[in-house]
Amino acid sequence: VSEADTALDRFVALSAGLTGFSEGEIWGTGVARRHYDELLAIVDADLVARLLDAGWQARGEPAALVARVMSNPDLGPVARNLIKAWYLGQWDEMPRDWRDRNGANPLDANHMVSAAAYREGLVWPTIGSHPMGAKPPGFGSWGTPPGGAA
Amino acid sequence: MSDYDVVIVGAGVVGAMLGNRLGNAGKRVLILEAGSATAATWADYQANVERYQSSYIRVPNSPYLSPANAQSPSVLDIVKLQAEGPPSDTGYFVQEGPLPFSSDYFRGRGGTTLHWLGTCLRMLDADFSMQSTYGVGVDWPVDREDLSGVVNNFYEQAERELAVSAEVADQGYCGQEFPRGYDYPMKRIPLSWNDQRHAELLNGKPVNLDGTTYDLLVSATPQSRNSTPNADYVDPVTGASGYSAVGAAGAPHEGLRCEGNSSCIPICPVQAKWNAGKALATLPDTVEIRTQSVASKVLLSSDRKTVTGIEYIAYDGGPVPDPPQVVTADLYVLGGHCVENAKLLLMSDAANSSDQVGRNLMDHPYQIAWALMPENVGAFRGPSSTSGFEFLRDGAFRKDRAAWRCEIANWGWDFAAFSPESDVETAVDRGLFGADLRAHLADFVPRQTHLGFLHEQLPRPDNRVTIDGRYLDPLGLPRPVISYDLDSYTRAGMAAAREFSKQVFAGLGAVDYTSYNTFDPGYVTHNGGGYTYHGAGHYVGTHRMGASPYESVVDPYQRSWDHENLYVAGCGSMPTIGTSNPTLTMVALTLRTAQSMLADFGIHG
Repeated sequence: VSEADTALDRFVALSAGLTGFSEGEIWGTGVARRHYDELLAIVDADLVARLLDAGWQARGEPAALVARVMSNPDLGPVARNLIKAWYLGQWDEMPRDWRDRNGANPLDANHMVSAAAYREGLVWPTIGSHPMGAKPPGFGSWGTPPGGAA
Repeated sequence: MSDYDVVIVGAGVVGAMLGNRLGNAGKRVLILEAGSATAATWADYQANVERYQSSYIRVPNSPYLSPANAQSPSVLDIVKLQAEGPPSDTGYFVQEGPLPFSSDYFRGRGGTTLHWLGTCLRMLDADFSMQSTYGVGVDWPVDREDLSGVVNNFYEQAERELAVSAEVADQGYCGQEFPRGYDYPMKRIPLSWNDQRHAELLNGKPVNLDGTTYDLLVSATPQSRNSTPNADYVDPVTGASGYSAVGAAGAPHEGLRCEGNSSCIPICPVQAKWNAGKALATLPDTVEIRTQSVASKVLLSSDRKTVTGIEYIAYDGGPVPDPPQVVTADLYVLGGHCVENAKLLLMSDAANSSDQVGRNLMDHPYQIAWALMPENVGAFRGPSSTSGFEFLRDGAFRKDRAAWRCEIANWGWDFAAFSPESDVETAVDRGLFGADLRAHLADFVPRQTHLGFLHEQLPRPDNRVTIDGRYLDPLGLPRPVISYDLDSYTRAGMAAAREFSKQVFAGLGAVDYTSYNTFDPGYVTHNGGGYTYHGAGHYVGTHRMGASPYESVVDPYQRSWDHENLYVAGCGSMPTIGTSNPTLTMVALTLRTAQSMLADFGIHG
């Protein structure tokens, strides 16, 4: 197993803990590497490594994630952006105080990660729907009782 | 010898309808389109879908290429205007206020139908006679019998052209009448689960408004969207039985029925929703479309009685456009957007002996009330809206206040609060993650519902489009300067709508989340209450038709009173707006215009 693969494994494990979806579901989106590449393009590699280490040590445990990641002033904002990226396929500009602490990257602006990342946004299965403009559920599906939300 | 029999400005609904009717009668037609052919082929259309999915802010014009030489207004340019402040000219429009005109449109092949919703309600009888019935607005020079029935079946033809799915049995509110035995080409689009819950909880329950008690009724909405063909359909022109759905332009097996992509605005990925590109794809060989060709002047004869040519500027991708060129024809049609038609007439000093060109601009100010249902109603599934409360589109109250129709929305709080994106962002910023985040969103978002009110406006001379040499586009052509306000008639309608929404939400057991804020660009007050409107994209009235050349720009057939070989066609011809989404009526009027134009050529029948 190469070092890069190990990092991606850790990225997927962290993403699962942050989003509430399983590692299998995260891999199943097909855009895990795309999200990881986006993160590396915008956030300093050392900070990403710290984030993955902290996530790995938390083992997906919510309390440990709060302690090691979410409440950390450098890692927490990145983790929150990563959740938004996974749910919506979009990258939101990092908060001003984080940019002041960690430096501003020109790629750190509001944008879509990719059309595929949008289509695989986790918000849609979460709310029992489908990405607007993709994966249509079929004629008349909107008239059936909702029940897919989970 | 003219270059063509007919030149039409604009490759949207009007260009598509007239191009087909005239071309099929053997006429040589040129259609000039200012914008690009962004959605002409199936591959290009799919690129638009991809562009939509790649847009951080997904507004109606997001999927479509908008060349600098043929800009379109964007809802992202709408700002709150300051009293006595300078006009806002951040976008294509120059907004003089006092209120912002809050709608966009799209200049390009296919026009704004690329991102319309497709609602196809007919106008009610009183909508044609507001002055004689209620003492407000003006009367039309045409009425229902000119547009619908055995002799004049233009509404029926329009419903076939626009491929409308609906059932007459659902449309009987306000005494609405259809020709005996008539029904639509396709069965109604199924009601959403949210619609069904509204109907189960509310139908027959009382609502009190303006001192009158009404029974609530949820009505299925006629939609220009493929559904199940009506086997008993009778074609109003040929008399043939049955109906076959029409698929996407360039991909005829796509879009034969709505698939539930839930993105009608801004783009239906499969073209199950009708757009003018589907009709442009059927143009006969005698009809030519030139895109990236901006009409810059209507040329008049020395006695000003006839049009002698259309001057236009063609551009490719390069920095320098071609020199203006002139094309000639026997008949001319301005069939662009109502703002663009008015702009071109004002630029040309044409068709304006009445001084009505550009005036009487109207929209349906769109007011939202939003709430959280007590149960999962499956928000964000299906077309944007599939039903509404239509029974208050007419009534004696119209002496005093605007009528409205009220759509029941299927996409939660998307328009009200940028859901679900804002729900995710808010929850994450609040500290939720993992299973807690997922559970919160699964509970909160599918319960969202909203009511959207489309308010009537009266024609007012000062709500208008003008031009001003200080504001020019890259071709040196004027940009539209818009003056706009909401009068007390419409504001009183907004107050009534808010009261109605409160009673509906109470009947649903829903928690009302509606809030209107002074910082909203469309915030207005009335009798101590504050309300916010958005744009509905229903531009109407800038070249209104009438019975007299002194009060109107075009006659009942959309022919210019001033220039005998010029027609000015589109929603701009509508003297009042009523409460129905205007495209269906505009198409009916335009099919009537086609008949008039063919008669000009000596073709009757």
